[in-house]
Amino acid sequence: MNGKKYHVGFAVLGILLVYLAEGFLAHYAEKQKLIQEMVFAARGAATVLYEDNVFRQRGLASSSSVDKLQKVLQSFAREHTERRLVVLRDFNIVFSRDKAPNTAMVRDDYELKELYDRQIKVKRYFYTNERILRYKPDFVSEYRKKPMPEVDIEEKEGFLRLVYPLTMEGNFLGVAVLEGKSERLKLPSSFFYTYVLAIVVLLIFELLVERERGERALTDWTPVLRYSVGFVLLSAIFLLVAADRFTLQVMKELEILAQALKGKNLIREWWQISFNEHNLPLEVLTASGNIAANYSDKFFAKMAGFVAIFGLLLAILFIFGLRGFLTRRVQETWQKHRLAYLYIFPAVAATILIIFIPFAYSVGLSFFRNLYNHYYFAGLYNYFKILLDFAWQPRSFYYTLAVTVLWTFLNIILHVSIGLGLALILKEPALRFKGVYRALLILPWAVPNYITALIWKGMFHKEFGIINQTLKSLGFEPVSWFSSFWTALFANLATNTWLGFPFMMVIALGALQSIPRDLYEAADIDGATRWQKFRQITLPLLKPAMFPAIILGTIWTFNMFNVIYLVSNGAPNNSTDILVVEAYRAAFEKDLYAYASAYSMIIFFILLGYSYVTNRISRATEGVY
Amino acid sequence: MAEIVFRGINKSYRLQKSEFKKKVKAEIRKLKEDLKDTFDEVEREKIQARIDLKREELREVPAHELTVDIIRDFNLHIQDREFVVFVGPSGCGKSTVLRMLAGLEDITSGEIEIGGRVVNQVAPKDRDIAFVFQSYALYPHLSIFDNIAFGLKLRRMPSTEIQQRVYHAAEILQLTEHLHKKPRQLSGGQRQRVAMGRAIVRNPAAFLFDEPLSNLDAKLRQEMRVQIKKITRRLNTTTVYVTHDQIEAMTLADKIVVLNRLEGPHSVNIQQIGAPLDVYYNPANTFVAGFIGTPTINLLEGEIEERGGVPYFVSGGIELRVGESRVPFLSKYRKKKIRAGIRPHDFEDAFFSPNASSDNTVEGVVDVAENLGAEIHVQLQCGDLPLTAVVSSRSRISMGEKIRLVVNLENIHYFDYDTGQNINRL
Amino acid sequence: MAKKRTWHLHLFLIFFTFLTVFPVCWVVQIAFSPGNELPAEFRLIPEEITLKNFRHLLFDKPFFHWLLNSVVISLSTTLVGIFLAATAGYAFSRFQFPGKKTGLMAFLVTQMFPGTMMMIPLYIILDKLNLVDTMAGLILVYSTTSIPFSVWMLKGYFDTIPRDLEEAALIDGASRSLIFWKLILPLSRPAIAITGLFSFMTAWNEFILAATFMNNELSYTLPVGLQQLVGQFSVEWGYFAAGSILVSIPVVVLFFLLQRHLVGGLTSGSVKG
Ligand SMILES: Nc1ncnc2c1ncn2[C@@H]1O[C@H](COP(=O)(O)OP(=O)(O)O)[C@@H](O)[C@H]1O
Ligand SMILES: [Mg+2]
Repeated sequence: MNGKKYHVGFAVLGILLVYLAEGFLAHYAEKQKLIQEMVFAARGAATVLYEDNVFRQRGLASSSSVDKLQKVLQSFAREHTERRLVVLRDFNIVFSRDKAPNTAMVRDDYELKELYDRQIKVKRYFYTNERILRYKPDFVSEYRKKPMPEVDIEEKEGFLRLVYPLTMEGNFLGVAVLEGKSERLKLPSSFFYTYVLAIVVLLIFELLVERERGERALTDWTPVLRYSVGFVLLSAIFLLVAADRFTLQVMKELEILAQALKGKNLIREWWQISFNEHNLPLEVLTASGNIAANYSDKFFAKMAGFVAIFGLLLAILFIFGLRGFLTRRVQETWQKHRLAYLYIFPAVAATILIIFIPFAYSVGLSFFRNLYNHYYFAGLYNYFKILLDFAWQPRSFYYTLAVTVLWTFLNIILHVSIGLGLALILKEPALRFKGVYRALLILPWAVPNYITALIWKGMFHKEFGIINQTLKSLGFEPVSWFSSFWTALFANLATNTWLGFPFMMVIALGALQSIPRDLYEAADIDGATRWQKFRQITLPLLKPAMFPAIILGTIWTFNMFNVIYLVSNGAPNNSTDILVVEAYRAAFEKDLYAYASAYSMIIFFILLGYSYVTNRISRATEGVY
Repeated sequence: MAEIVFRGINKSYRLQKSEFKKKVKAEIRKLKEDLKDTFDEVEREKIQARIDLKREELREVPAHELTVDIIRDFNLHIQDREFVVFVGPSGCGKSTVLRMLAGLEDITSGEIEIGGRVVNQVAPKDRDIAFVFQSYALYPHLSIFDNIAFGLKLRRMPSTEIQQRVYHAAEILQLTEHLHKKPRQLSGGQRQRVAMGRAIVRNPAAFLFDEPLSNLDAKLRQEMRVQIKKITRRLNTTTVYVTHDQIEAMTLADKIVVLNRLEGPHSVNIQQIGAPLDVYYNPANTFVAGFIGTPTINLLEGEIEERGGVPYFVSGGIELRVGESRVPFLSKYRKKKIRAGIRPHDFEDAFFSPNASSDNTVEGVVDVAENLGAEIHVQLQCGDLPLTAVVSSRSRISMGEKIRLVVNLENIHYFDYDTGQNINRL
Repeated sequence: MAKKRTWHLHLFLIFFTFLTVFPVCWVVQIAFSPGNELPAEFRLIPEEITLKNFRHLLFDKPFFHWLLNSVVISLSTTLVGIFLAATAGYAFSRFQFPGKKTGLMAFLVTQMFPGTMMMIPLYIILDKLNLVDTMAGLILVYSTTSIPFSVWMLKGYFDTIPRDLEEAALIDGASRSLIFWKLILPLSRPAIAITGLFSFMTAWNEFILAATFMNNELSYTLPVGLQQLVGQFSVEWGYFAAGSILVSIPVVVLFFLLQRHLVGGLTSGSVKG
């Protein structure tokens, strides 16, 4: 085994890892910087307002004070042209400076609602914090409440939105909403290159040493240890330099910001509630608006700390990673099966990126709770909330589960019996026009299923739907399909059966083809009846092909979102919703992404359990490997 | 020069724990069935011991190194231009050895040499060999011509030469008028010939055949056997031929290698290497004796007893004097258990035999007599002992009749009771 | 044996075929009728045949843009999907390697993930890769989502191709990749065709992801464009019906062309599965 190749390989791997980790670090640093900047701006605005005594008369009663506020804000907005500033008080916009200046306050409802929601949230935070502050010991112990973030920060597509409370003497007056676009810091490259440099230097060193030494036992620890220790030491030196440079850079920016606030008399009351990182300015700036003396040291220490932890993690990874890779077994495995891994690599890489990472993300998300884009860890809260809801009514979990199971069961029964029946008929040797029938019967499979769903919804339309028209012309009362559970379920079922039986039919046709003729001939000689032949020959021999198809069909039907959502859309009263539709509604109609993730996980585990059990029972996949 | 040398070849598979357990359980099941069919006490004890061993194995499945040995210590030297046949029951590893030689299977340890070059790390295509598969492995989407020419094209041979070689091979194999057809349009025998053609055109250093005739019916098989013999004689190339059919082995081989499954921790696959007649007349052990020759040799258990200074083989109702040539080897076996092997063809009807005496005759009742025209296969019962004999069809034998048979004493093989080795090889 | 009477079977089949074809006829009627609402009654041939709906769709909407997008995306998805699934399926069928069982099982398990929840993280990932609002992004997503099913199907088919063939080719001097491209792929044409058909359908019919990832009207695929016609409150039935027909025709044609393979190709894998 050639040791050099491995050193090169690990160096490349290391660089990749660094690159990935660096992305997170940079992202974090960038966000921090932006937040700080905005807090500065908001505080600046608030200070300006305060200075101008706009809020001295509570409630902004007189129109003149509103005018005055407008003026002040406009002047602020002129100074910060790249920012958008909106001031809300209750449900009125007091001031707005949109991206396009001087436009009227026309926004679409959705955005306005979002701002209102945020205002309410910040207001709640503020009063919670006030209470905690006032009645501190008792309140905290009694309710175990944590202080809330003072400002609400949301990041969206490169924009940062900051909602900042405007308060006075313990009363909430309104919020200032600031939006701004971030500019990238130059931080990442310097960090990245320091690691790369460290690795390259080490690599050259290692290669030189290894050349002297020649072949080395695969389980020899020394190069690994040397590599790791060297890596830590070397990168530490580089990193300290980099952290220092970064600190300088940040300090320069801070200076500029501080300059903007210079002369404005920052009043201590505004900086009082310091529970979290968003209150950084008090540590950074003195009351007179200058940068605090020891801030740069603190900042440097913090960055260096980050870097050290990261470096250490990387080193640990290296040690164990290399150790693992250098064992003979792993090497042999790789050597022996390289071709196989090469062949599956493209598919596996794509699947990991597009399917497994999103899945992992969902798994992670399910342990959080979110209010809009604010996530906090909540353990199994979502799961308990879903699974402990025993109410028997639409939208509750167990009700929906029962509907889903009923829906799946009926569908599969219909798909399989119709599909199998038609396949058996189409196998009849004396039958003519087989090809024509088969072609026409497969048709529904080819039609996109959202089109099918919408068309059937139209067919079940109360007044104009063809079904009710047919009923009417036959002398029946038209049915209002979507106003009772069973008729709505029937509509869904009809749609999905139309959609789903061709698959089962084709599978059954294929399976029937593979049953040897002579079995039937032998049975004929034995004098078996039609039914006996079906029971004793056809069914048992169909099983191996039909069983996986049925399992797959069950899974698909269980998750058949389109039909339910587009045909009955849960009508009446969400009673025909199935689990996936509920999950979808939680995510996209109520913005409860975390809750919806937990919901999806439960669906996933139900299906997993189902397939495991059926597999156990039928051994359907036996002999696949 | 294409000498082939196998040097200490071993082959083992790594098995998953579950697979291993499944395999051992199947083996135990099989042994239990054997136990049911066997009435010999000693044999039963042996089987029981093996079952216990397997159970032990099952109980203590090691967490790692779940390896199952298939080939152990395989050593063989094949001369240039020699026709060697591997013969043995199915599952004994014949194909595995051949495939290792071809490079289709990797070698766990040991060395294989072709033409003086160690080929362990050489890719199949660079070993300069041609392989004829049992299933023929014709490319279904290519014409016969393209099938035969495939290897040549891949070796970037000029197309005129390809044409010439393919036509030449087709002529030898009488395939000329089929060259444009697809494999599925041909009969089994023709496909087999195409597979041969594919090997021939390559002009390789060695031909490897893996049971090439076992998918053909009996008549065709015989025809093709003759063809193969003719062609290989004509091309005069080193050939390794795998079969489980002893007739093919006897008729085709310059040298036969008899293989068996590994049976214990120290057993090896190779049972005997030798010329066909050597293997027939001088089997190395009970396995070879039982495997080569139809009908199967009669293996009798008995003891050597002295009658007036002369050693006799005694078993049930039989008493046979030991042949002169065997006497020197039997000195250690006085009063000991031993096995004797008597080939059915070494019996003769006492009625037609001039030298019948009490020393060399057995008496029995005919169970079944099958007259094949030239000879009669007789199943008879000598006391408790079942025997198979072949006698000339001059004898008028009918079932239930009593019969006396003379045995060719010099051709009786004696085997050690415990090891199964032929005593003249010990 | 005397010729069996089959009229009762025909009756049965005609009944089901009627149920199958009926909604399609209804849509055809709407598409060729002048009104944009649901018709008052069903007629196989509408009273007044007009191409108004089609004309509107073809010339007043960026229909050809959508068509081009859909064609490019679907064909690319098919190619990429087949490539990904065939290579992986081959490895799973032919090689023994650690992780094989796990890999196959993992592919199977992906079928149980509820798709709607994957949208948000998927969006984030595509955004990070700068692939939002690009065809490449959709192609990547579509070809990947069809992998698990295709891999299982192709693996099943490859399993039926004897190994001897490959070994013979190895001895003849072929490399692994040559065997794969020149031997395995040509021999699995039926299964490849079906895999391709399914990949194509995934891309051609998919709507939710396309609507999420494509923000620009000119980069819509056909289904997303069609969705525009189904407004929040009222459906423009005439346009929708005409659009449905236009969208469905290519897939239906492909289906009819390949249905011969469909029966064999689908089950060869699952019979043993
Ligand atoms: N991939 C494998 N894993 C485990 N055992 C195997 C494998 N391939 C072959 N064997 C075992 O190796 C033995 C020899 O097989 P083979 O060489 O094909 O026998 P033959 O050709 O003599 O009939 C058989 O017992 C078979 O079970
Ligand atoms: Mg074999």
